[in-house]
Amino acid sequence: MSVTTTGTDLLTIEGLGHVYEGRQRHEAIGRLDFTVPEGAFVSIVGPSGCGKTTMLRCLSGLMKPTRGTVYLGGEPVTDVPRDLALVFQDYSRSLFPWRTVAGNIGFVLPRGLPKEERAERIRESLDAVGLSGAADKYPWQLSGGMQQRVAIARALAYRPKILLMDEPFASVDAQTRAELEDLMLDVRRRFDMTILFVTHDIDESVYLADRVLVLSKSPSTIVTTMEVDLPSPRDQVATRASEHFVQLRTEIAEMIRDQSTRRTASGAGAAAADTAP
Amino acid sequence: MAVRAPSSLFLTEAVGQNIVPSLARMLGGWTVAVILGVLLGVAIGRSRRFGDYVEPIVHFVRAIPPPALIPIFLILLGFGTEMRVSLITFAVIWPVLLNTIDGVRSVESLHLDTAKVFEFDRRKVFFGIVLPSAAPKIFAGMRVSLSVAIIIMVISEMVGLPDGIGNVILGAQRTYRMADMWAGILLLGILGYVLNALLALVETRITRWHRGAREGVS
Repeated sequence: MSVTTTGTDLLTIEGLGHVYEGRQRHEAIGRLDFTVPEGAFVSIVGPSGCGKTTMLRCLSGLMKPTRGTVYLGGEPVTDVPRDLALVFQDYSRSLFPWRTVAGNIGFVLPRGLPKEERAERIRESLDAVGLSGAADKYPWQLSGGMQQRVAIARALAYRPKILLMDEPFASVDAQTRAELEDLMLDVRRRFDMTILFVTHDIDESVYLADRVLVLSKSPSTIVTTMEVDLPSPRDQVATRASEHFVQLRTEIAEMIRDQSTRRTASGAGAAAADTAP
Repeated sequence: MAVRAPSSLFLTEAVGQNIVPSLARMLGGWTVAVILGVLLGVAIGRSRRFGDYVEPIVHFVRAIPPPALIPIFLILLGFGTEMRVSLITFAVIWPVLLNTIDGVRSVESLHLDTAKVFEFDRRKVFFGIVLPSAAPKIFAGMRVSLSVAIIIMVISEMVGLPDGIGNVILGAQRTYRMADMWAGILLLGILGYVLNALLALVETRITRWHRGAREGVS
């Protein structure tokens, strides 16, 4: 198995649940229990509208969940923790258009950082995402894929222990998407980062991760946890063509399909589906 | 004090006596209005509760035509500079104030989330995100205010102590010196045009990103 975990759990989610109160009460998350080991690449896949974004907002401390607790490095998450960074799906609204690429990255670094170290971190993170030449450009002068690279570089420069990604490649074209996926694998190796990657794309979840969690429709629960024992380094053509990859993605696809048909057939019955560790 | 012949406006001490005081009062009143408008606008825009209390009052007071308040300003502040600057400030604060409120309220929520993720403190959020986001709207308000400031400057100079461009125009008209009157009017047009152009220049420099981001250059 390609997992380089040290065995300890960096992120622990216990009994997480969230209900949007109001005129139209909506239970977004039923119950989630899972862990993300240090150094792991875990992806979470689920149908659209299954509360993935809500979950990430709760995990990152941007939102207080109705039930349950999130622990990062053993500490309960109440506010956004220092060791965590989040890459949003909507890069164009997350980058600051009045700052250059380098300015966007430098902006998130702590104020006390010496000048040389600041410059070095900007250079290093831009280099990691292959944008060394674009430091003085403005985000809006770049293509969508490049803008998302800037957002990733910004998160890298911040040096978090864990990187949460909310469908980061959902709005770029297929070619760019493949490039960015490989970029993430590379970044993970290079920075030895723990990554929790949320996506609705089954292939992407399998291609990237060591472990895939499959979510049900909302109120979401974990339908299954699947270890991905594909060899590393992964390759866009060879890995995706391998028998094992196809088998894994098919299993997940079936599970998601069953989940939605069962749900419509028997109402909330499927909510009792196991919440495997 | 006797009214000077406006024909000497461009050359003689009348420049110092009429044009400079007029400009100083106008720019002074406008600057005070911009500072107050931005500060108050940020407070109203950032605090729901404060906004709920103050906004109805703002909308009422703003509806009063400033020239209608000239008698009150004359009694309270006298016939000179204080009255004129205050009247200008009162008249031109509204576009800046309302645009600032609007600009501050329409800060991209994802920008604020991003700030939370990267643990920005309040100062960094304010100067790094809120002000730059609101800058295009604040500038739009400042430009409207500037053109109103000229109008109120002229009106305020037609009452009270006899100095300023407005007074020159009024004096010339009353003594049938039509050429002088038109000279004053022309001067006002030029001043308005130049000041607006200068402000537009500053605006494009500071909010260059805004135009670029909207047009989506690639």
